[in-house]
Amino acid sequence: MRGERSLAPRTARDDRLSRAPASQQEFLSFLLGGEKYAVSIAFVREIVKPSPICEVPRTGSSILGVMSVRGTIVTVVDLCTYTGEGRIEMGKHSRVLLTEAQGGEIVGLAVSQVLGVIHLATEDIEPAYQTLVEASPHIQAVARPDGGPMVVLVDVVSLLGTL
Amino acid sequence: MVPLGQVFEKLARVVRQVSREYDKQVNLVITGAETEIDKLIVEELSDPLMHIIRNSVDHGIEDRDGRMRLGKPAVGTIALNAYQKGNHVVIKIEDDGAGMDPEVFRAAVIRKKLLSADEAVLLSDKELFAYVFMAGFTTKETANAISGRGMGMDIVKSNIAKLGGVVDITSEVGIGTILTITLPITLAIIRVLILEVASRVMCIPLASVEEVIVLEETLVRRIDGREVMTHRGASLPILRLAELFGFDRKQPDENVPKKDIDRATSRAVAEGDARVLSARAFVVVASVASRRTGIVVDHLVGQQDIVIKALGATLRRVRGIAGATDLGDQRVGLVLDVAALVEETGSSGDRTPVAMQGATG
Repeated sequence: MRGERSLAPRTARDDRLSRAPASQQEFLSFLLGGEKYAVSIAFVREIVKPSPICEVPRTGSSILGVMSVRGTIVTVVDLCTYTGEGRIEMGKHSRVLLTEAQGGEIVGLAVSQVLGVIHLATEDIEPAYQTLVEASPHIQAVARPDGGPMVVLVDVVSLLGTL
Repeated sequence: MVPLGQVFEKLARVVRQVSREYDKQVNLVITGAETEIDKLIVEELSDPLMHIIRNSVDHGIEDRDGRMRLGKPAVGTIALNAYQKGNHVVIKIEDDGAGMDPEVFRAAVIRKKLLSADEAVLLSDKELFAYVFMAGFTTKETANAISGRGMGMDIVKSNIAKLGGVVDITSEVGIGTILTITLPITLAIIRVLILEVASRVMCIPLASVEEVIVLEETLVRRIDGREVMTHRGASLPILRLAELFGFDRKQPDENVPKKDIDRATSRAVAEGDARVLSARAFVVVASVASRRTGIVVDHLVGQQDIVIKALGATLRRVRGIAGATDLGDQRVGLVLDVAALVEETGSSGDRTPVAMQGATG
């Protein structure tokens, strides 16, 4: 897919790009259901394969449960419930993105499949249209990297703030 | 986790104050102040440690003239040393004072008629010193205003025991006394009973489990919307965990229609088939203070020592769950908050079904 970089070590070209002025931003793109989304890579601390997730009773549907990441108990959030994709189905390609919520707590975001890192020029990013924001308030913007297929950018900070 | 240095600083002040009171010169040497231990333990530790230090200055360290006569340095030393040893933290309080004389203990044991003279002779020094921790035991013939009642060390020992720790004492006449306190690093290691509820793994602290019995549906009565069974001549409110937590039974072995299970069970009873019998539910009789609740679960898995971890800030308010633990096989088990559950059964007499209240939280 165009505009994507694998998670392999960075090439010289990538380094040049990341050193480029603020006009370039890095995002991690992934699938939720069949749709393509991305979050700013600055919020992704680690990508882990999901270990068995333990359901926690008496929580909202957006909480998938808790899992153990090297002995630490991490709350796993179902990103699909925020983006109107229904409930996530954890499969072979599912991953959990570990991000740091306010107060330093590590929260896991379950995604259907991780695609890779994309570089977006500021001019490629358009604010989300009103209807989209109304449907899911944590959509930050949409982008069309290199004029390719649309990617929806998720606002991690606002999403974690509602937990 | 906090460093022990917090308590040690307080002790340094106590030493200065007490040594002034008794007109003795004492130097406190602290090592291992950076050793970390559970915050809850640190808070409970300062009283016993203060008492021990006070004892060392009062009874252990001799006055200046006495020390000079014995050829000891004029200034007494109390060494406070802490270090980690496996899952425990060891705190050593060592003084270079007069030490304790086992013969004085032996005489006191005989005088108090705790043992006959013949028996007392057989006791080792260690066994004799252990009497320090006995309530009401004193080597002094008369008690004065501040010491000699034989209570202090007894309280120290029980306070340490409450934290899951032990106190040891060794002493040599003329050389000094060493008190060794061994504490668990964290109070969070608890022994739990591992259960299965609708194929989900749950843990219940063993400390609040009284017993486990097989659920006899015929003994369950509905009183005012609550399920109660008679157990040991008293009524026991019943809490069906799967219903309370809204767990659906979709797992393979739960797919069997209930009728079939019943039939299988009755056949199993006839044939004594233990495996099918396990399809029966169990009642874990849990108690908090004097209140008891029967928690209905599907399976009993076993016992395990676990490190209980708090859930993240987003889940901390979930009622009935105290935390979670890594069971060691990648799986996570939720730890039940028995106090909250017992309270919930007690208050479930109101109109709203309990399971509904929880579903929105």
